[in-house]
Amino acid sequence: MKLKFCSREEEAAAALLDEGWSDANDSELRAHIDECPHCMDVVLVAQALRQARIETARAATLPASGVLWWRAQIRRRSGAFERATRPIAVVEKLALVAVALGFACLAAWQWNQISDWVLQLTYLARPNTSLLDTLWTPFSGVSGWILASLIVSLGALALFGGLAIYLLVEKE
Amino acid sequence: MKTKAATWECALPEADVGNMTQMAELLMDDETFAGFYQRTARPLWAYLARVSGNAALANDLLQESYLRLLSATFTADGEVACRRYLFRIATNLLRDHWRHPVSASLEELPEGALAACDSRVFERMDSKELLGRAFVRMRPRERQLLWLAYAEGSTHREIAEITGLGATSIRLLLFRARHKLARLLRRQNIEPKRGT
Repeated sequence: MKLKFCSREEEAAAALLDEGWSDANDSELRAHIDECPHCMDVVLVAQALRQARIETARAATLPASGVLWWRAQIRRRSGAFERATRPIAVVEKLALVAVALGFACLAAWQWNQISDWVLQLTYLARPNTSLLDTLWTPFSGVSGWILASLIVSLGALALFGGLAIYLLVEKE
Repeated sequence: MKTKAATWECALPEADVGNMTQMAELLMDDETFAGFYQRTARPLWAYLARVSGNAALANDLLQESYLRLLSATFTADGEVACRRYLFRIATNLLRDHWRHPVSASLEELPEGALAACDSRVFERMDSKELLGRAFVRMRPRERQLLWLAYAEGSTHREIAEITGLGATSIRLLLFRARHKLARLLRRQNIEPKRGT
């Protein structure tokens, strides 16, 4: 395509935008447009687009401005709240990771007892085995305070772990 | 002594609450926005609908554009600047909508890729059938430039600001797009109207 600009293109477009070609006072410009193929393109395209703009704008079904303003306010506030509470969310996640790690360490530390206890569960199917005796056997060699601390730790883990998960799920 | 209401704000440090209140302020108040919306919503919808060729998408993007404008930390320098910024947001939303994993640019989209799924809606809108099917055969970028230049009457500098293109390339791109649309219109036997 041969690129040849006309210096009066913008003038032609502006005249059309302001007054409409037929009403343009500048007869010299009108004469130029009649002669210049580039300006004729400008007029053709501008007329079609201006007409389309009027028709399209008329067809729009718009929501009320108040609804948008209200929605923007809610979004802005929730964004600000999220930014302000971001450190809390980070601490929550760290707590969850710490709880999970603590649970894993405890499981590793007491692995022998846990595996023995799990194995003993298989004996539950036997009809002559007492349930309490079976569950107690792996812990029979452990001293009282270790057992108590184990139970307390497991309880605390369950409590805080559950709380942390609840907070995260609720947030999302 | 002022007592604080028992809300979530009590759980936050004082400085953060102050900062948050500042951050929660919108760009305009309700009344100013209503006036601005009244003057700009229809032209913006027309721009979105014509460039995307999709009236439903235009509805969504229009709302999102205003929501982002109101939430922006942009320092408004008069209504003209606000309007330009609004069109820029809308343009970015359109681009985001079209962004393809491979082709990120509007230039790379094939002709008619976004040819209106509801072009008949627009044909009905054009009571005088001036644009007809010609416009949907243009590339999205071409539609965008032509609309901004000739429907909105934006200058090259304003178009550059809205589209993010280089100001110097606008003239050339616009020339090509205009020439193409004029050719398509003439194929439909549409000629400039020479007055009443």
